[in-house]
Amino acid sequence: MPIDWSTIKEGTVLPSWTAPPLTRTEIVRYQGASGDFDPAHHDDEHARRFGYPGVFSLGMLHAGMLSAWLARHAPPEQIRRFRARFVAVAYPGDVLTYKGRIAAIRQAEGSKWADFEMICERADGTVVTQAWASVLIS
Amino acid sequence: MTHPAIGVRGPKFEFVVERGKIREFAQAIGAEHDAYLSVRDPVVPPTFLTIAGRLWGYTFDEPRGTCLAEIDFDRSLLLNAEEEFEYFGDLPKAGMRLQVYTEIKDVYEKRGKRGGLLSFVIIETVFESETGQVIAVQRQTVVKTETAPG
Repeated sequence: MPIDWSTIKEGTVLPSWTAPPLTRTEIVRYQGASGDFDPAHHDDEHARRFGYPGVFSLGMLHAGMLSAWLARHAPPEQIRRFRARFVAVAYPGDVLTYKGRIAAIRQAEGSKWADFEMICERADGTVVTQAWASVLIS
Repeated sequence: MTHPAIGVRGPKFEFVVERGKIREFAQAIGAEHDAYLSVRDPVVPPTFLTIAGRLWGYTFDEPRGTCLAEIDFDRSLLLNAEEEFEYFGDLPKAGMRLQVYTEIKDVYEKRGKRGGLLSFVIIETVFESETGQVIAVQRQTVVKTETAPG
């Protein structure tokens, strides 16, 4: 549900979204779309050589999914800043939840802005990706 | 000591914002919004510009024989630590031709919480309009760790 800009408040927690278990297909699809063909994300043997139990996901996939979560709540055309920090890796089969809140409503440079804080986390609460976004309200 | 890579700038390249590529990228991240999938000239999802250097140009990860390749840094297992996109006006839309270059802003080492040595590289990629106006900047922090993180 898009946010009603006239009534938004700082601290508002927005509905979270839990995705079906992460699949290798989703990982490979993102690799194809982004052009990042690091074999650690699709070749188990390669990933194990670097000490991982197997292939793992791309931080930028979950950053992208957080931006998709944001676009459900705020107009995509109005996003002006998006920052993602990659905290932990996710593996195929992980059930990931995307959620966030409005951290601030502020005036700057003659415009009104909404700052969002978001996280993508595993079912056990481990944070995979953190993100921050600024959206131009008016 | 200042790392000699700081200030190294890759050659400019053109990145055309394509409608089909936006659609492919939006679907890969589960962004089903009309602004990406249905309108004639969709805007880019906020992380979309990350593909520019990989597909069309010269990046720290894929220097393709440019001066970026001469940077002395072990790239065997580089991890993305952070990536930021800042837009200085309307978002780029399908059909725009952007002029792009990458610059190494900083290189430094730090001891991690578990005692391992971490090597950081801060990379900035600048996107200009055809008239030379900076419309977006991508800031990337990549890190090389001694051991794989959990």
